[in-house]
Amino acid sequence: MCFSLSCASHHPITCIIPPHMLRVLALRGDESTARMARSLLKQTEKLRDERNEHATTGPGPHGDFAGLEAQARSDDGSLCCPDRRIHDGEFKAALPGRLLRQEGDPSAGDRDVDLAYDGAGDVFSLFAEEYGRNSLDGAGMPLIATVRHRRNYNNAFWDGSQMAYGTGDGQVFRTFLELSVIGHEMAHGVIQHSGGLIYENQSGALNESIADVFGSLALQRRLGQQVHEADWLVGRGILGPGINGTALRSMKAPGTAYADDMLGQDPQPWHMDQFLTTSDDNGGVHINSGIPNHAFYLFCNYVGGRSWELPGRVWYRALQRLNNPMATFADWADQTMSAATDLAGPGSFETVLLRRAWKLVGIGI
Amino acid sequence: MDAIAGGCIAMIIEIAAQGGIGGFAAPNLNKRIDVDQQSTQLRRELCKVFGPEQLARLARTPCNACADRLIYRITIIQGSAAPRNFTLREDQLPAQMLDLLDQF
Ligand SMILES: [Zn+2]
Repeated sequence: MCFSLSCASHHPITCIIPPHMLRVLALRGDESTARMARSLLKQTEKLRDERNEHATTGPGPHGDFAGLEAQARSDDGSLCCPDRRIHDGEFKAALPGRLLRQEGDPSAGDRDVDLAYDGAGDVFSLFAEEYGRNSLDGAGMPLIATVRHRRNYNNAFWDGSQMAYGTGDGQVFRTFLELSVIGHEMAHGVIQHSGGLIYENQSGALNESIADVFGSLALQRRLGQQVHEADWLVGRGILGPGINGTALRSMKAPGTAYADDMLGQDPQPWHMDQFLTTSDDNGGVHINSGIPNHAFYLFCNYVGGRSWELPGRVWYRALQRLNNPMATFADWADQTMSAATDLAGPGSFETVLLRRAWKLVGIGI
Repeated sequence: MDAIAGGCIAMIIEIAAQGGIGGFAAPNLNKRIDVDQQSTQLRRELCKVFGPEQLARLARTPCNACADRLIYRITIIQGSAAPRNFTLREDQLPAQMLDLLDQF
């Protein structure tokens, strides 16, 4: 066994939304909220059963962050291992497809498979080594991915239990196997297992933004980049050769990633004054995410150094403490302030810089 | 009497996609399928899975993990009847239906 049984007793979900609140949400929430509440209740019940099962073997309670860090460590204290399983979709829609490479296997000699395998390892390592998280669910779940999903498929997604990557059609997209994209999709899994953020309007845009943040941090950490060395692009190089654009999104300069006859102009705002109210794209989740994305970039820029360190820890801690699947941008900003205060101290330079970053995008805290 | 004669004559299926990880409309995923122009086997399959009742049922499937999913806006035009519009996320469509779509 890689991991101690303490994982089960510190699953983030158990700390996020109290069951009584979930039951109220399941009864009184609108359709999507009620669905999420029912799903979380099921997971909570499962975890309670697991915890009871292991009650005699688990250690006592940890302090918050120390406890989280302990999750990704094996009994001998060393950081433990991902469990990657990369499948070939063979251009069909059924998931997960044919298993081509699993943990410990040598390179498959298949570029897509190897990129998915290595990328999953980098993202696992970010969450485990920097934030003490054992895989996407905090309890060592396998990292299942399918490459070559569907034919000419212009998308990548997290389906609730695995990642899937299309090849692109060669015109609009040329690939989706790029580390910030892989990190983005895997971060959706982390968000889901951290209490979730309902995928519409502001909470949906936060879901998207947090996925972009950890996708970008996975890439920056892989490249060993300081804040000023990073390009802060999500999906750099994945657009097709005929598309006038460099990436899907820019966290440094939202709205500038592409300007193309076919795709139009990158619609992302960076300030609340340009917040877009729309019914498309689940209420503009990939559009308005530019605002919290830019706040994170500004915070990193002010702090300097490696962004996956203090800024990443602040964002990760805020996600674990959010406790609100319907959070607004203002709720999230407040939560990041609490996390920064916990980690850097009340009245610290870092908390002042964070407040300034949020203010610059039009969110006062 | 096969499925085609069972109410699928002169059916046109228009499909536009948007969303996904990029969040934008993917123009290359706009399709128009004239069912009458397809081979007998394809016509049967299309009639079977793109019937308005079938689409309406699929559209009610709840979403468990919707992040980055494509959204299809499907219009069924049948004879002189008013076009019927459906909005479905790709996770609401069975794999066989997606494979069928990918043939066009
Ligand atoms: Zn996403």
